[in-house]
Formats: sequence, structure tokens, C-alpha cells
Amino acid sequence: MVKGYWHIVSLSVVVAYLTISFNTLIILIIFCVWLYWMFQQKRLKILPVILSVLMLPLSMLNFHQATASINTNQEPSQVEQFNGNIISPITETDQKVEFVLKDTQQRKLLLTFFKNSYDESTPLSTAKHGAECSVKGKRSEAPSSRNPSQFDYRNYLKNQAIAYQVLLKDPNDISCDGASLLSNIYQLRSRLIAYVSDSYSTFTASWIQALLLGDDSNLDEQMVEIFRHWNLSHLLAISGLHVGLIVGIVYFMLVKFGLVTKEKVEWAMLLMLPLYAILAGGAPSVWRSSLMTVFGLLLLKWKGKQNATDILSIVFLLLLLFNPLMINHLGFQFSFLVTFAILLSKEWLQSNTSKMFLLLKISLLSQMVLLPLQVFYFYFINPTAIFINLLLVPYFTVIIIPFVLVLLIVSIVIPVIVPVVDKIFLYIHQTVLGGLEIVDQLLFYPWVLGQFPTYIMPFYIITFVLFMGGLIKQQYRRAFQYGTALIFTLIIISFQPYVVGKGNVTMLDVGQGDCFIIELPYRKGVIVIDAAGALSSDFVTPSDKTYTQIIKPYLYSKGITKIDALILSHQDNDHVGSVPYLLNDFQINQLVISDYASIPKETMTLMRKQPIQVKTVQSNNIINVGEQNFYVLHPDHDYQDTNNNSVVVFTEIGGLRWLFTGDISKQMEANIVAAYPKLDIDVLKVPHHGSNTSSSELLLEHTTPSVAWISVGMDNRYGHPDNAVIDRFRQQGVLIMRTDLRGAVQYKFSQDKGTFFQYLP
Amino acid sequence: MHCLSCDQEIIVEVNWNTLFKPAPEPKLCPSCEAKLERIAGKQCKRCSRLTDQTVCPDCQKWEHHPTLAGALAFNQSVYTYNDFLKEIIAKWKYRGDYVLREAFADAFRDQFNITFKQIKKDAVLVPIPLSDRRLQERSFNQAEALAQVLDTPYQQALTRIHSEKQSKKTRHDRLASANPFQVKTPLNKPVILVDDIYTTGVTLRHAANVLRESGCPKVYAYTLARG
Repeated sequence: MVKGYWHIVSLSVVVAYLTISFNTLIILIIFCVWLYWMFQQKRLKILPVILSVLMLPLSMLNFHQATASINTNQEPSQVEQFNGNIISPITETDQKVEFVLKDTQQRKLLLTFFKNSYDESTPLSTAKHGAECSVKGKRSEAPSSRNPSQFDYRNYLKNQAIAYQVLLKDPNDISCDGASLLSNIYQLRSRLIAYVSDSYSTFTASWIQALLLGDDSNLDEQMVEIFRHWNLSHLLAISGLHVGLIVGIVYFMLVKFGLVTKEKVEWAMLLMLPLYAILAGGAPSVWRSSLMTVFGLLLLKWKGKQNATDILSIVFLLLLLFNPLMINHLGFQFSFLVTFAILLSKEWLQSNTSKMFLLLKISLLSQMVLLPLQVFYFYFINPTAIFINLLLVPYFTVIIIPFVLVLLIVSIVIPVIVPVVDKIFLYIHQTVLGGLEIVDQLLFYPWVLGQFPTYIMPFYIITFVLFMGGLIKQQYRRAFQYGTALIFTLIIISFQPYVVGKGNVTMLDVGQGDCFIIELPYRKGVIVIDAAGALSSDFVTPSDKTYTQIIKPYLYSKGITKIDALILSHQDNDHVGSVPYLLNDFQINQLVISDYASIPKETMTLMRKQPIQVKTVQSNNIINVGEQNFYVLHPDHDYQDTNNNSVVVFTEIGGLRWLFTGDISKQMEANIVAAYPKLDIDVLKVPHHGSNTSSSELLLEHTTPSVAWISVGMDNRYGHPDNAVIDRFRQQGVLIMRTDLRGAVQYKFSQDKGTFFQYLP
Repeated sequence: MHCLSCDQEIIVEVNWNTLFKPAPEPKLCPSCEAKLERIAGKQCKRCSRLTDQTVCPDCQKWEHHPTLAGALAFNQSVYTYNDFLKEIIAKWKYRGDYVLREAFADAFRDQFNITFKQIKKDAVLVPIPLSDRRLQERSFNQAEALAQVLDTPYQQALTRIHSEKQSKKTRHDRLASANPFQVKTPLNKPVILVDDIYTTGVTLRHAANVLRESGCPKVYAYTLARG
């Protein structure tokens, strides 16, 4: 019998997944040796062992095949005709409509319509789940990551076995026919979402949609981010808590009010739960909790006995059998891991009667068990999040979730009182969230660990298991020792950069803009030169996209929270647009600008939050960070032009001489050459993104760089870098490294030797 | 898996301790397991009875016994002989449910390895024998079955003359009864006697006495239950 040992079979699937995704056999070998050893010791019977061993190649094949159909060869993009079936629900946001089409060649294509590009009066009403469609469009590969630690959209789609993205402009390019049975539920979902939007205020609607219908696209993005800061995201994903509550409330209302018999309600639940999982958007956590409830109810009916870890494991195996790609889903990993950890800790959790204490234990346990994943994905932890969970989990459980359920029912049954209940909800929830926002502003001090080194992972896991084992056996001394070891592991990870004598200079690919990050060996200093911002699609509104997707993840992945000097060449958005966000999240010791530049008002207000020393410089000044000196060569006086007032700095790092030039023009180059006739450099940050108005022959001949770094956006509207400039560098035999061609560029060094790396092949 | 005692299905719960090292298969369900009382904490250092005294009054009396005083170094028992254990042992030894031994095999082995950690290296186990007639009635010797559980070699060094069952006699009768044991193979090593129950201790002392007389330096007793 495998009863009681299904978790071992699931473990084997996890091992198979890790083997494939990390491309190493070591975990697999250790697992097999362990299985054999446990069998020898009579701790495992033959059946679970055989099943686990069989599962290894089977699930490896399963995972492999799921993504094998993806052909990543870039083909010429022409308008093509695709025929196939829609295999996903239709998701619609304010900006776009999206769904997945599986064509006759069994390729999965993500079809995206941007709403602003077509007339909304001719909607894609024929596009339904299961419909047969023919589409005309251009295939394009999704953008992949261009910087270390940047979110990789192409890989994200690949993990869903989606090979290409097809951007559609004209709704007439698609014609569909038919629909599946499931499409009715999907349509019901869209209708409910729209219905809620129509009935309630935006704020209230967004919460009903998120907590009951699994659609969090309307939630305030900043609030979602705050929830992430405080490990509260689990409250936004429909999970066991929600399903349990909803089942409980429905059960209570139907049975207690004597509407139907208990028996009938149970059967209804069995049918309703899977339907609800689909209706609620089919996120892994919803499936997990509703299927577990279904299993539990069935066992109750058949008077069967099965321990909870078995039920969890069987649901795990079933879901992956149905869709192996689910395992890539962050929510899937978090949901199963936490549930498994809670089940393994049952004895410890049950040893106290106080509800508050129980909640504290669950929060602590969840945070600790998720820590490696949390750090792997987000690079930081927030130890104080436990206390906020302690307040907000009961608040959501007792007030908010029942409240939104009542709101939905009220809007259908007694629509007259909708405005009143809407106001009450608005008042309560906005007050609480406002409080959370204040807490976030005052008390959010993330512990940024940086990348979790993979070799420490097994050590952390084993120590954690031993720690929990000690708690369960009530061997508190032992638990304390292992707990201390766990904290030490984290401290060691944090201190790693301070003992490693490697440094690097990085040119992040921020598109058309500049952002350079210099990390000195032994973490003796972190210097940022320029922090490009992004603009929204209207080319006017500033956007935090570059900051949140590129700059912050890079700094966090390196465990950086403190910037010793932020040098801003000049005040253009493509050089300073991300500065306000940096000021908000990072401790900045020194802000350096030119004598002839001013700090925008908004930045000034942000700066009041921390003591920043502002240093204004002009030529012949020295900026120093520890033992590292940056010599300012420009500007020598006010040129009445932001570009020409750019701060130009010279420094020696890793055995090379560097010149960072901002956006200066040829005239300024001539001035610098005249003022510093002996200036000789190895690496030139090409001025003004390779514009022909800069990079004069005079500068090249005089300073003799051997490497030119060009930070420039792909297909930018200025035509940078100019061919003439590229030619000039070629003629001088200068090696050119461009972000538009190869993504981020890095020079990694230790002492006086280093190597250049380009992120894209 | 089903409970050896009540035949209820046993559900194995996994916890952090058994995640990477699965627990041995349980033989009793948690509620039956809970009815067994492991002897732990303060006990008489001679006979393993639960008491606050270092040596209990019975054992003090034994020290003045004319012939059997000092025959036994000490006895260690694993469980208190409560109603539940009484029932299980009866099922096991009188009604021949041999497999019930597994219900306490692990605990019996563990306690042995703790108490006799130093002694077991040079000692030999001697199960208390049954008379031939009794062995035929029961078809197995419960003491030998227990000795087999331990990973120390045992030897059938004693024989027993048939007499009335100990359990049918009063304390007085037992203490007055004649020594039923004879040494088959003399041993000059320390001996650990193995039996199921220690009640008055007279049987074990009789056995110990004959062994000592035949040259055995020291005799200990290890029993499943303390009556």
C-alpha cells in the first residue's frame, strides 16, 4: 500500500522537476540513494519506492514534452495565417484582450489585441474558449530579459509552453466559430466581473473581484505591492482560507435555515467546488483548496480514512498530470509548500489552544518555509511581516471575505441597499488599508539578502527540517540551536559581498537612457551613475517601469540597499527619471550633481525623508567613495544647456581607466581635451548614446580608448547610435559594446584584472 | 495497516521528523498505544517498580531472604502491567496470538539498549524456560520470543520442572515454593534473564540462584511488564 506515503511520490515529481530546471543529476542521485537506504532500513515499503522511482522518468518526460514543442528560432516576421482552437479563457483588461490559440501544428500562440489600436465597437465577441479560429497576424517572439535579474517575459511564456506572441491590430483579422462547454463558465465569470464593476464603486468592486472571482487586475497596483512587502499576497490569492470560509458560510446558510438537507448540500458542494475553481479564474491555489475539500468530503461520505498529506499529494499529482506547466507557477509553489508545511507541523500547531498563538505559529512557519522561494524570486525578506499578518489575517477572515460574499449576494437579492453597503465597506476597508499604507511607509525595512546561493539551499532546508523536528518533539534546546543556525545562514548570505574581493562595473540596458552601477570589491562602495526613467506609452507621463523591472531587481539581487554615491550627469528623464524611486527605496549617502544643475522640487521633498549629502561639482573636483576617487573633468562653467552641463567623471577601476561622459557634445569634448591634454583612457562611455553630435575624432585620437560602451535603446526614434560614430570607433580599432544589441554589459574584476561580459549571446 | 490490538486502520501521519526518515511501521493505533504505560522516571533501582524510594519495601525484604538474597543484581521492566497490557499479554501467550509480540518489540529493544548498554557486550541472554508440558500446551515460550527480539545472543541454559502455574498461586505460595529450575549448561559470564512479567520476583530469583551456584558471576533480569 502507498497509503501514508503519497508525499514521497510527490517528492519524486519535485525531484524530477528540479533535475530538469537546474539541469543537474545530483538531486536525482541523492533521492534514489535515499529511497534505497530507507527501503533497506525497512522505513519504506516496496510499493511507494517503486512508484517513486517510476515517477522520475515519467514526470521528467512529462515536463520535458510540455515545453519541447517550442521552437525558439527567430523567423522573418511576415503576416501569416494561423488556424486553431482557443484553449484559454479570454482575459480582458483596460488595455488589452488576450487569449491562447493552439494552431494546427500544435503550437501555442498568445494572441494580444491592444485596445487603443482598434475600435471598441467591434469587439472580439466570437472569441470564446474552444472556438475554432483563423487569424492573420505577425508572429513575434516575446521580449526576453536583457539584464541580470530582470523579469524574462519570453521565459515566462515558455514556461506556459507558449512559443510566440501574435499582436493583432484589426479585429477583422480574426474570425472564430463555436465554443466549448467551459466557455459558458468563463463567460459567466466575465459577466460577473462586469456586473460587479457596474454595481459597486471601483474600490469595492476591485475587492469583490479579487477575493471572490480571482481577478486582481483592478486592484490598486501600489496596494498589491504593499501586500507583497508584508507577505500578505496570500490574502489576495483565493486559497484554502477563502474556499473554506465560502463553503462554511454557504453550508451554514442552507442547512441552518433548513432550506435543504445536509446530504444534498454535500453533494451540491462536490459539484460546485470544481466549478467554482474555474469560475474563480483557475489559479493553482484555488484548485488546490477546492480539490482538497472535494476529497475531504468524499472521504467523509465513504467513511474512508486518509491522512491530509496524502490528499494534498494526490491533488498535487492530479493537477500536474492534467497540466505539468502549473509547477512553474509561483502561486502553485507557494500554495503547496505552505500547506504541506502546515500539515507536517500539526502536532506543534495543535499543542496550544490560544487562537492568536496558533496564528502566530502559522505565520512564522509560512514565512520560514517560504523564505528560500521568497528570496529566490524577490531577493528580500521582511521579518516583521509576521505581526502584520497577525492583524490582517483575522481581519480578512472574519470581516472582509464574509463581507464581499454578502456584497455580491446583496447586489443580486436586494440591489436597493447596494449604495449603503458599498459605503460601509469603503469606509472600513479604506481605513484599514490606509493604516497599512502608513505602516508600510514608516516600518518597511526589507532585509535584502540578494541572490540565495544555490549551494546554501540544501543546508537551509535540512536545518529547517531539523528545527521543526525539534519543535514537534518539544526539544526546545535543539530547536533553538537549529533556529540560530538558520539565522546565521541568512546573515552569512548577507555578508558575502563584504568578504569577496570581486567588483564590477555594469551598464544596465535601460533602453534609450543611462544607468551605470559600480560595485567596489569587499562592498567598499556602491556608486550609481545616472538612473534612467521610463515614459508611459503617451511619451509624457513618467513611469516606474525601468526602475521596478531593471534597476531595483538588479540592486536587490546584489543585496544592495545602500548607495554611497549617486552621480547624476544631467537632468534629463533618460538619465534621472528613476531617481525619485531610488530615493524612496534606498539609502543614498551622497547625491552628486553639477554646479549648474538643480534638483526638481519633488525630488527635494523625497530627500527630506533621509539625510542626504548633496554635493555639487565642477571640473577639478574629486568625488570620493572610500578609497575610490572620481575626478570631475567637466563642466568648467555654465554652458546654458543641460546636455553640455553633463558631469564628466574619470576614474580607475579594476586596472582600467574609465571616462563617463553623460550627454556632452563635440565642443565639450574639445574643451576637455584642451584642459586635460594627457587624458588617456581604456573604456569610454560613449557620449549621448552614440549621437553624431558627440564622439569626435579629436576625443578618440586623444584619449585612445580601447572599449566603447554605448547605452542605447533598440530601434530608438533618434537613430542612435549614428553610423558615422560607429565608423569612427571602428577606424580607431575600438571594441564596441552596445546595450541595444547585447543587453547589459559588465566588467567583472578582482584586483587589477577583469573580463567583459555581455548579457545576451 | 491495522492495529494489532483493536484492528482499527492506522493512518500514518507524517511530520518534520519523519519526512526524511519515515517512522517504522506502527503496530498499534494511537489510542491503543496511549494505553500502554512506559515505565519512566523514579523507580525502585532493584525491581523497576514505580516509587519515590530508591529501594522499595519488597526489595528491602528480599535483601534479608535466607537463600535468595542478592541473587539478582536488578530487574528492568518496560511497561506497567496495567489492564490493557494484561489483556494483550493474555491474548498473546495464552491464546497464541504470536504476532502481538510486534506490538511491543520496538520498545522492548529500545529499553534494553538503554539499560544494558554497557552490560550487554559480555553478557548472555537466558530466557526463563517453560516446562515441556507447558511448552506443548502453548506451543511457544513467551520469554524466548522476547529474547529473540533483542540483538544479543541468547542461550537456553535452564530447564524447568513442571509445577502449577505461578499466576494461580498466592504471593505466600509463590515465595514458599521450591526452586523449579536446573542448570543445563553452566555459564561463567554475566547473564540477563528474560521474561514477560515480574510480579513477586521469586521465579527470576530462583533462576538466578541456580545460575549463580553453577558459576555465573552476576545475574540481571529484563522483563516486559512490572506487575
